[in-house]
Amino acid sequence: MSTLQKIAHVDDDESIRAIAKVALERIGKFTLLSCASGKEALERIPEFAPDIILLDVMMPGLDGPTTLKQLREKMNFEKTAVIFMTAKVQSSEVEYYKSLGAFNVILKPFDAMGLSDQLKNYWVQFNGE
Amino acid sequence: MDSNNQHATAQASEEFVRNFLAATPTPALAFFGNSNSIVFNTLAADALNIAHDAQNIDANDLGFTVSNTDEHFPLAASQMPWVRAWRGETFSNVSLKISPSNSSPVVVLCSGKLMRHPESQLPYVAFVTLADVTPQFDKEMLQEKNQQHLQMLLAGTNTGTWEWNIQTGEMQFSAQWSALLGYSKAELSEFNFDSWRDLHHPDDLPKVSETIRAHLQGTEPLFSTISRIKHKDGHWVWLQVHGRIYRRDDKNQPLLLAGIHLDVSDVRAYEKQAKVSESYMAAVVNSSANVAIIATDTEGVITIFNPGAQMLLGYTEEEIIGKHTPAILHLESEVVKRSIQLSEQEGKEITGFDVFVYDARRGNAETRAWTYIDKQGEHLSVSLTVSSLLDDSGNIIGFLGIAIDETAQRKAEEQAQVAVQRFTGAFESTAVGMALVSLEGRWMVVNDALCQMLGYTREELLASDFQTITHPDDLENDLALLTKLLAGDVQNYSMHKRYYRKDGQLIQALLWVAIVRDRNGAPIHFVSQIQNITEEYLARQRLESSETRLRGLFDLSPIGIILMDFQTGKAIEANRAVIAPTGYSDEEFFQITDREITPREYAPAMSQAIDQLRNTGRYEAFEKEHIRKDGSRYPVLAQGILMKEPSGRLVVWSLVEDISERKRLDRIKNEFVSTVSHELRTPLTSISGALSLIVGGVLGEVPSEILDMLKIAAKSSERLSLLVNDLLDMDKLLAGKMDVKLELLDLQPVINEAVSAMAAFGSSHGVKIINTGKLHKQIRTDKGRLLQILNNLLSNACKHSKPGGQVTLHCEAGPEDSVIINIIDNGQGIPDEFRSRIFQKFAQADATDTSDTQGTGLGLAICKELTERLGGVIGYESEEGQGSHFWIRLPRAETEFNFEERTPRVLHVEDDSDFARLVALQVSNWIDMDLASDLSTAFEKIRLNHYDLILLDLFLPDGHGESLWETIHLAQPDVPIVILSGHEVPRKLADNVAAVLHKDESTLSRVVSTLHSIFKMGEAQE
Repeated sequence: MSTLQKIAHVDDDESIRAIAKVALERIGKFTLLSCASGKEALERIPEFAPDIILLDVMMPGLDGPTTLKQLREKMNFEKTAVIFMTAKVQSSEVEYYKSLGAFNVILKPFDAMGLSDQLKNYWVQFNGE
Repeated sequence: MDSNNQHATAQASEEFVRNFLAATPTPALAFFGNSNSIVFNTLAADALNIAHDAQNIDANDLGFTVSNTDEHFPLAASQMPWVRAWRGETFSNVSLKISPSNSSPVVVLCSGKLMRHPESQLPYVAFVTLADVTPQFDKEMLQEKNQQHLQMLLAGTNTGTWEWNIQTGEMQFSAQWSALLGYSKAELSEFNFDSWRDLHHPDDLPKVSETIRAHLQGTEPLFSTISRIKHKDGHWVWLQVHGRIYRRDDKNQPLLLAGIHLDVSDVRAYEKQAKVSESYMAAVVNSSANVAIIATDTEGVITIFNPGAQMLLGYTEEEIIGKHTPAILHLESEVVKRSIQLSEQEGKEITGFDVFVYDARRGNAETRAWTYIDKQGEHLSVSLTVSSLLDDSGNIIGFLGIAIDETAQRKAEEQAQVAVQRFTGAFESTAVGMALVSLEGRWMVVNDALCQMLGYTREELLASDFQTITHPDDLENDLALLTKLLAGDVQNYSMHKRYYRKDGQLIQALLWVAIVRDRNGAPIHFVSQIQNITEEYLARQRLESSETRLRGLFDLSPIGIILMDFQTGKAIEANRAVIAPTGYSDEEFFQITDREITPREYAPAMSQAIDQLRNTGRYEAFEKEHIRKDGSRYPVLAQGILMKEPSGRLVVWSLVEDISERKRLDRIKNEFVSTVSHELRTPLTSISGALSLIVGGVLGEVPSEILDMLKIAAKSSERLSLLVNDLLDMDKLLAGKMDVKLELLDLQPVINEAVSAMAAFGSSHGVKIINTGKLHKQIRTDKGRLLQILNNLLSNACKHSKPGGQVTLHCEAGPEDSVIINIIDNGQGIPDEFRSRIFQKFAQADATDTSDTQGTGLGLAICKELTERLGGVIGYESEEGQGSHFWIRLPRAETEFNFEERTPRVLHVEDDSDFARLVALQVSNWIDMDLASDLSTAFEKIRLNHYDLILLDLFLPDGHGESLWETIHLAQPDVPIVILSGHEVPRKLADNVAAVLHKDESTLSRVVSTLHSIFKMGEAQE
């Protein structure tokens, strides 16, 4: 299992991006690619080749699921875990996102201090044990 | 003529004729037709006053005329008897009158025959004999004249005659008789005795037959009677008959009976009239029960004593007839007194009976007051009128006294006097205004009440009339009614009218008017009764206007109001707000029933509402839909009450609110809340994230003062996040969007997780959470939701505990593999006034007391919703100041309770164990009855067990049953509660339980039937 290093975060909300940046770069010491839209994500993520993509569900223009769908055409997801971030809590929605290929769902508002540890946990799970 | 004559020669023949004539013993003549000459014998010559020597008289110049006996005209020459004989005619006894020129006429009977010449057979001579019958004829003439006289006489007296041949039965009737009875002579010729008898009136026939028989037998010299005989046209004619046998046969047997009939109809009519008058008189005398009539003869001996007199004086007719009047009937002192008076007046002594009839004898009827003495010796005042009775000739034949009992009249007058006094008293003392009003409307007599009512003095009022003080708008109507009253169209009338008081104030009055008339029916004055109904009128006005207002409220209410017949479900009244949304016209709407406009799937809810109505008199608000005329639906909220109309009909008043708009607004609101909450999360994420990073020291050291502030901000943003999460949860729960994913779980790890998750929170409140009674058991539940519930309950318990307190979490096994989780604190407890709202949204015990507890107010509402979603039950027990005990009971698996498959479980909360045992015995075969003899046991049992019904006594050794009711009502509202108590049940309780039974009124069978109907209801709804 490779060490979790590169994380791409896609969110249209600038402040969320800023907090995630602090939480992930300062606490988790990860390499972060912040994208402000699905479109930007499509342009930059395949090249970046992240270990985890944190994808906001509700975005103007391309929303999270559409962005994921289009990303699949551009890159291999074998070694990349997709985690949706959403304010919706319905368990049926979680199932739905998983059916799209998401590994897990993080609920907003998330715990900024614990985010890095949470991702590390998921990364371990993603790579099996 | 013998043969010798036939052989006579012609020469000798004339001689022979003369000799033959001479020898003929009767007057005779011979006529020689050839020479037209006549030869008379001497007898004939004498009779006809012809000279004896006259021979061969020329037949054309006889010196006398011949005529028929009843005529004066002479016969024509050809009709002369001798000419007839010459022509060959043989005749005998033809009566003729021969009138000689110088003597009186002679009546002769002529017989004639022709003699022919013996050889030539030619007519030779005609012989005619003339028998002088003048004396007989004259006699007959006389008789006939007499008869004619009689006839005329009879005709003049309407008398008919008849003759009856007793032996043959034949009858002869005179023309007069036939005229009397309308028959023609021909018709009468058919009559015999039998048919004549049949004409008699059946009532008279026996008398007629008897009279005839008596006469024929000789006991009566005359057959004489009066009878009715039928006129041909049908009416009866009264006839007086006189008849007599006038001929007997050789054996002296009666042969002929002749009679006359005299028409006496007029006489009979007169007699009848007299008889009628007489019977009238008798009837009057006899029937005058109120008037005593006493008749006497001229000497004062009583001859008539009528029933009125009998009644008045008490004597029977037999006792008094023949007695002397003054002696027996009168007060002697009065008679003496009058006697002295009269004697002085008339200057002669008048005594005894004469005292009474002195004036009457002079033709004056005298009326005078007397005192009678009746049989019992009682004195009676009478007014006695005495008059004389006269016969046809004007002679006094007796006296008639008519006495009227004045005693009764006097009493009546006294009574009338009393009545008048009473009336006057009533008139003056009554509270109702009364007046006598003249025909012109002037007040004639008024009472005090009226004066007070109208504010005038009596004098002022009497100087006025009713028209003056009547409200002008009412006057016309009043006068019209008065006119009707005057005309006799109505006996009285009443009307509502207005009067002006003297002070100008208007009063409302009820007027009643009758009319007083004299004996002839002429109006005298009016009697008016006037009642002041101003107060009532105003009250009614107020009532009416209040009714109008209510009616307006009903009509205009935006909430539908409908009155239905409880039996039929048909609408009796419904306002616009009910009908308009349905799309039906008013007529159509009142033809359909509540069930018809409610979709079928609401039938269970409807029958539940009906049961509620039946059991509690009201049904709680529930939502259903109505079907519009076009088939579309809209939601309504219905609630109502049952009422009994005075007629006994049961009706339901329902408020039916069209909640389409509310539903739409709810949806918009929910969507809004949902959207807003959602939109809040993103900035909240940023705020709390940013703050937590700074406070967490990720970005380096922060001066401690700033850090304190940032910590406050971080904590507040966390609370805000929780609130937003709760709101979203609640929203989802209410919208049914909350997904529950049940899975088989070990209970204890979840409990441990909850306790450890809340430990920090607890310590922040200085409260320790301990977990007792570990239960290793699997349950089927949603872990996340269960944690949410436990977090809520634990955080509540911590928040409401005093610092240093303890919150206990205790798990135990429940019935049917269920699990009960108890969370017990010993904090301030739940205030009584808050209990009813405890599971409601945004409920918090006291707004002023939240500073140290902090909560969203949604926690318990979410807990209840979630617990139920997990198939569990939540409940609590609490006493203010003594802490709270919340519990949830979760099923091991989804359990659907089904009465059909399971014996219903009932908890009977009752401290009288004997009574409880009796009840349990009654239902032991179909109900599993559990007993709790005090409240704490009951709470324990409810927590541990599921019951399908609670039978609750209110006064229990450790408290009032109301607190138990509250717990059940709030936590398990579907579990029916039946109060079975000997005490009064508070209204709030009675309205919110399935049934209330009073121990003293209810028999055990009533309890059983109530339980039965409740469980039957459960079955019906499955």
